[in-house]
Amino acid sequence: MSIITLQLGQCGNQVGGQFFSTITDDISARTTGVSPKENKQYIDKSLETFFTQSEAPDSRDGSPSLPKARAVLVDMETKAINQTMLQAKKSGKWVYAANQGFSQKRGSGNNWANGFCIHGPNSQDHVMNLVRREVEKCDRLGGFMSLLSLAGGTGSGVGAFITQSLRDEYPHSFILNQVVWPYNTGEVIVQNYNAILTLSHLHDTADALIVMENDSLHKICAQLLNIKNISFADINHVIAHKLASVLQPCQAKEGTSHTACDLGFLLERLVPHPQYKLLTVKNIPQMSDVAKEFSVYQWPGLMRNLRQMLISDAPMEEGINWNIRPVAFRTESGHNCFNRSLSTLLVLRGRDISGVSTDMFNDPAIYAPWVSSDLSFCVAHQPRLFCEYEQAAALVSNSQASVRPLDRILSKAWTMFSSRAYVHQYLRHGLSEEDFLDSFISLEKVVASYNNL
Amino acid sequence: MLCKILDENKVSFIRAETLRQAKFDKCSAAKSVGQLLFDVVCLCESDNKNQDLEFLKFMVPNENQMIFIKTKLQGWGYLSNSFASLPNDFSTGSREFLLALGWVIYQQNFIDKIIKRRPRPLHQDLVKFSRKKPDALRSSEELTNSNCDNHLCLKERIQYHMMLTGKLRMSLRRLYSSYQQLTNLTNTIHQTTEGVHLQLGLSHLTPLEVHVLRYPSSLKKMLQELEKDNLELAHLLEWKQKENVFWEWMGSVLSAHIEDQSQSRASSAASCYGNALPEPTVYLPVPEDLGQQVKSARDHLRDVILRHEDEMSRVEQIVQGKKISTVETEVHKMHMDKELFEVTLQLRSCGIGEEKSLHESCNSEGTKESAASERISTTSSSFSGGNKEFMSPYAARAVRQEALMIAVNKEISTLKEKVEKLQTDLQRMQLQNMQEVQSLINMDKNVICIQPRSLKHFYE
Repeated sequence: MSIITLQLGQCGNQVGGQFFSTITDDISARTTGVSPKENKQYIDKSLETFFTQSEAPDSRDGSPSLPKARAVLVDMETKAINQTMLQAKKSGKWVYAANQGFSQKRGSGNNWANGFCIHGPNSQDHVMNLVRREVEKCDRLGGFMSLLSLAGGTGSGVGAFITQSLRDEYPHSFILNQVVWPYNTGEVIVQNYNAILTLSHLHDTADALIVMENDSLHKICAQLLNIKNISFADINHVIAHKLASVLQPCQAKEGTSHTACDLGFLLERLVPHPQYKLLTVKNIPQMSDVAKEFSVYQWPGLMRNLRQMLISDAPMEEGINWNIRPVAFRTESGHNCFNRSLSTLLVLRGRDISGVSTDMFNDPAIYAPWVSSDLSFCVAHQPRLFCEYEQAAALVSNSQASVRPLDRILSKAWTMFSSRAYVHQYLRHGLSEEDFLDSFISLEKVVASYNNL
Repeated sequence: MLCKILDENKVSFIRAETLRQAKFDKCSAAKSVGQLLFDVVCLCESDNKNQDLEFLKFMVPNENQMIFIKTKLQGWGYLSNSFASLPNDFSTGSREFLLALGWVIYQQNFIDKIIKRRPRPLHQDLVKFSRKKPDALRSSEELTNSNCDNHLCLKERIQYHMMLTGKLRMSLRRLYSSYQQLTNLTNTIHQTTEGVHLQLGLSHLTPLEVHVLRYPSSLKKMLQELEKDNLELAHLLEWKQKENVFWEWMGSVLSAHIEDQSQSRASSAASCYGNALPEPTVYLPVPEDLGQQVKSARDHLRDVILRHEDEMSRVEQIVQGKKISTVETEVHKMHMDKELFEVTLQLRSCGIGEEKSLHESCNSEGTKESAASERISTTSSSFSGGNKEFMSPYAARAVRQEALMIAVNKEISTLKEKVEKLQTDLQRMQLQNMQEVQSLINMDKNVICIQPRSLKHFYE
């Protein structure tokens, strides 16, 4: 059971590098909270999922060779890939396999059409070869995870194209896309176009999209982690933390039997409905390393906070609006007064998890009325500590949370499009105005179906 | 002995004592012997059709077990009235069951089938070996639980079903990838153990063998299984040797049955003589109203024959008539030909005659017509002359029509002349009157006369 990571674009590569080092950090953590044997199992499983390990020892000093990430690095510029590979080598815990990167001389210039229509087809054969090489190393292909941002040109354009090729090549595999939502205020003027085009294409091809909003990540960095000058590295750290907390090995309880909560299981539970594919991840607790030692949490309190975070769609446990209640009442426009979900998956890691009551997530009021309780909620356990947190809970939800930013981006892009601003840049690379309109329509449909939840 | 084999091979559990009771037709044994018979029949059936035994047993509900047995037995050719007339609730008739059981065991080669079905512990799947107990499927009660949302509206139900479909699709994909992994790993084992083999016909070790080699503790379990298997096989062998004992015993059961039957028949003949005959046995797999059906079918057939009898006889007559007239038709044909020939000849001559007369009449008509037209107008001289002689009736009619038209035109023109003459008369008289009025006005100076406008032009 292995997951192959595709790092697309500058953002994707940086997030990917951070993701793998978070996992190795977690693996090599000093306090585990479980017996050495269980810890060994956990480490083996995790390594098998994200890394390849060759049996042969390193030729120079005889020590076992470093695990190699199951990853394919794609960018149109060499800078980000080289930097990421170098950082990995410097960590001394893991490396990227040689020749698993693909880059070209010229970037996509923040133009989605350039990435999708020009760079994508040009690099398709090469990238798919790299992917095939990774797939052949797996005993069992658990799925693909693509990391990309919505704003840029390479990540979004080439990413959308590569995801399509993946779907064509591996029709039975699971494809999870983690997309980084650009800042509201935006670094790139055409980010809304890029985001719209990417999202609509990914919504057609991928199985699920994990949405990470730069704005809320920024808030987490500022308020919970107390970072003064927030850099992208800090934000990537939070993203990696969120992803790892979900994807690290754990056991899900289903009926009477336990099943491994692998990527396939995750998607099966969370995105069974083809019209609802947007996922959000909420973590609790999150704090800086300094604060970790002095903080004590109790499970019931954490669960209560997490539930309110889900209902009120708060990115973190501070500043939750406690006034929002799950009521059946809807506003006149048909909107819900709270964040209604289709399905959720709760991952609990740490001490005393067997006694945690998760009944408050089983409340049918917070889910769509037509979802039966056995489909809506699922809980997974892992007694081993995660990144030395005594307790850690991650809640993945398929809910209305991502609709608001999507709606905002849609309206902004539409305003720009109605005056045809910058559209000629895209038409130059072979995109037509119909493609824009199709994307608008398909995303409006997504928004509408989430609003009707 | 038989009981042991049956139990070991997971067919059914029964005690020899019960069979013994069944020999003496004890009602208490009926239930268990009936159950045994059902199990045996199920096994044979599943073997015949290559179906899963559990599935077959599951498919047949409890109350239908007896019907199932009877249907199958009669299908195989066990036609015993007394067996068929047994009640469906396994309450009585243990000896009948026993006899039927003996028949099935012999007729369907039951023991051979058992031997064929036996699992071979050396070749079994690793998964089956390593797993203690297969996970029980979710109980049906749990399944119905999740299905209790009938209060949803249509749209929501569609959404729900879409969701279930999606989930199913995902599960299938997961299953597919797991299967791929299994294949992959098995292949790896086969490749790495190339050259070492424990079984004939294979050049590598099976996953099970590798598992046993890797974990020696499982050897003990393997040994147990093999010993058990050995014992069971020994029992089967023993059965083959001592089979005749069973059949002898079965023979005694049969003779007891026959004895009983003759006794009961004698007694019933003695007691029920003069009474109504005993109820006819119900022959279960056959529909209850079979007699009626047969009767109605026969009636129907008779009706059809009767209805068509007339037609058939008529057809026969016609055929006979045809046969007789074949000679006559030749004669008739000749007669007909002759007549036809004469008629044509006549016709030909007639035709010539008619042509002549037609010409004459046409001519006369033409002349008459032309005379008439000449009488009406002297100007219409278009058809006077040579062509008057050869005029077809159509032309004649056309001429007549033309003449009529000319006459009408002539009439119209005369009428028009008359009108014109009258108008001029009128004008003349008006003028005269005007003049008279003028003279009158002139005579009297006191009168001022204003002429009507319509008459103004007279003064100009």
